[in-house]
Amino acid sequence: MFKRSWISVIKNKGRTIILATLLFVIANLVLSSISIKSATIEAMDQARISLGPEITLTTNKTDLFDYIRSYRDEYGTRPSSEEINNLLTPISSEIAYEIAESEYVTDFNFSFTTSTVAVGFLPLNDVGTLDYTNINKISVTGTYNPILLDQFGDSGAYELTLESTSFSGSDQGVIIISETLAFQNDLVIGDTLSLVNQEGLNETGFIIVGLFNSEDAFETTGRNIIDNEVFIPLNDALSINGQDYTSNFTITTAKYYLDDPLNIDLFVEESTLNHEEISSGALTFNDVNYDAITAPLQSVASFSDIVLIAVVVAAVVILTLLIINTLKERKYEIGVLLSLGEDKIKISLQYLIELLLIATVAFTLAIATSNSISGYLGDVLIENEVADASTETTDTPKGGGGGGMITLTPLGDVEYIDEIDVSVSFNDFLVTIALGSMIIILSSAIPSLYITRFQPKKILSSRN
Amino acid sequence: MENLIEVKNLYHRYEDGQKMRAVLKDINITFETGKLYAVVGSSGSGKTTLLSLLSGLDSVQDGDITYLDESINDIGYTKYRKEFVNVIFQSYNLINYMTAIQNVITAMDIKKVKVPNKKEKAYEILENLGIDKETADREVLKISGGEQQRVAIARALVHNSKVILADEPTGNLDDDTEDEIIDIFKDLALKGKCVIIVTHSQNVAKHADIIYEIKKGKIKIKKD
Repeated sequence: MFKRSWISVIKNKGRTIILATLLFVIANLVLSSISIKSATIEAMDQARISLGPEITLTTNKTDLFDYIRSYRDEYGTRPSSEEINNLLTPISSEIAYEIAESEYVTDFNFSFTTSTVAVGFLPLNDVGTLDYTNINKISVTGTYNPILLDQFGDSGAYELTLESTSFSGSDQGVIIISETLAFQNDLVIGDTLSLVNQEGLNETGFIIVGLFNSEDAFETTGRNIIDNEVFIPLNDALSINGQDYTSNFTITTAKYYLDDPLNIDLFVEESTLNHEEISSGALTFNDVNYDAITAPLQSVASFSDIVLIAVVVAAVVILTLLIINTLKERKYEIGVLLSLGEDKIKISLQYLIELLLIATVAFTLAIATSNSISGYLGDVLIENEVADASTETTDTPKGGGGGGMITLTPLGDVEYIDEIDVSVSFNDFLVTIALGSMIIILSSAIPSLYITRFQPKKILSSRN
Repeated sequence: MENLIEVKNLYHRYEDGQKMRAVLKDINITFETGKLYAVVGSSGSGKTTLLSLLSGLDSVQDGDITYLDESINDIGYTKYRKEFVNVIFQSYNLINYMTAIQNVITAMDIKKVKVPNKKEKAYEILENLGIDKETADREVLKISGGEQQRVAIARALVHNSKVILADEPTGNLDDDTEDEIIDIFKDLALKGKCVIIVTHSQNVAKHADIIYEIKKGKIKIKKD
């Protein structure tokens, strides 16, 4: 059988060349798709690592933004805070703590944002001076540890002054405020101030332990928003809001620190599976930075998947048709073999071996060419995707949400990953061989059924 | 001599437009080893149909054909063709892209012939039939009709089956070559094979030990 296949491949040069060319093209496309996909996955992993092992759980505001936009279009004003709050699902402490028990989580920080009223001091207006007209605009962020907040992190825009201290865990009655707010109100570290909620209740006094400056953030965020933002312990923020922090309470964001950045997807998957609020989309993990910088890569990866599926399907269809056509040409040969007593299954196997022999040559040749082809295709794809992504405007929420303070601000300049190292690995080649074998076996299946219908007498008498 | 193939109450029909036409009617004959048989009849008499049935190329519709008392239906047509019969066709039916020797070796592979060196054995069989090594190594389309028929006979001889069926084996050959081919068949019968030749050639038929004639679907012995 093998010998017969070999003779057929060698002697029928025209057919062999056509099949080899087709399989060579298929091998290159499959190898390119797989290696580009591998390269994008690797680049995305690198992006994950560079962004760190943390991820934040927030209330999903996408639907809310759409609602606000359509409300504005219709009524020319924003919906009320109550209406906005009713549309948001807060994060319950029960869920937040349950998620923190995941094997991937090494640390976590919760925060709660609300609007309060200043007592004994004044908020600032948008030019950075005292606002005598509206004292109802202090945005409070209660947290276990302000240093772990995005604003104070390595990539954050807020910086504590040298004399400042921070707070953590169960500290109470301490506050960090903007340097400008302190200056305009003649406040210094060690002074006290008070806050009450929007209803004028739950007055709480605080000692200023820290000041922050945020000059870099003024360009992208309204000055009065930053100056009127204060940071207090989580339990104090919950108390002002009227919540009992010793039992079940709600928070605005929960930030989780994982053991490995590459476990983020697994962690998100696990949390989504275990919590209906996440699977339903009411709560969501905010992966905006990762999504932004890897957007072109994700497009390239999706495109590679589509190309791979299209190539496999097209290859099976084309090869099937080609083999059926070949069988018509080889009907007489099949008749002769059947008249000699050959099993139909062995004839099918002979043709399968012929294809595998040709594929071996085609795939081997593809090793030599696929590196340059996939490298070139990878570069072209990523360049196009980066160019497309750069022209798109991305809006993302910033500035808190629990108290209905939602502002749309541009994400700013995103440093997209615009280079991927596409090279065909041994693993890619093994996957290609597996896919190639699958293509060949699938495309031989229908012609094999065709062979079972052949009757030697009919074939040979029509020939004679 | 032993009864090798027995045809019992064999009927065969095929579709002719909207009707079923009976080609063979109540055929009852026996073929023995060591004899050369000729089946004669006019065109369309059903002699090729009979050969197709005897060779297992076509399946029995009604009646039975047995090989050493076992129905070929029970043996299985593929196994029967592979192990018990060899067929030689008027148009040789060789695989065109192969050389003569490759055609013979292919038959050896299919019929699972066990010899130490298949290639040597194939050359030897071809040599005995007058095909030298040089001709054996040529593609079959590049050798003469007589040589192709010899290759087809060689292919039928690779396996030590007792039955050789031939359909108009000399139909495409000149008189001299026809005589040479007939001598080969006579020799095979002498060596104990059961050789059944379907022919319309009187020259071929006259060399047979037994001649059957098919007329209007019925068969009768013309020479015994």
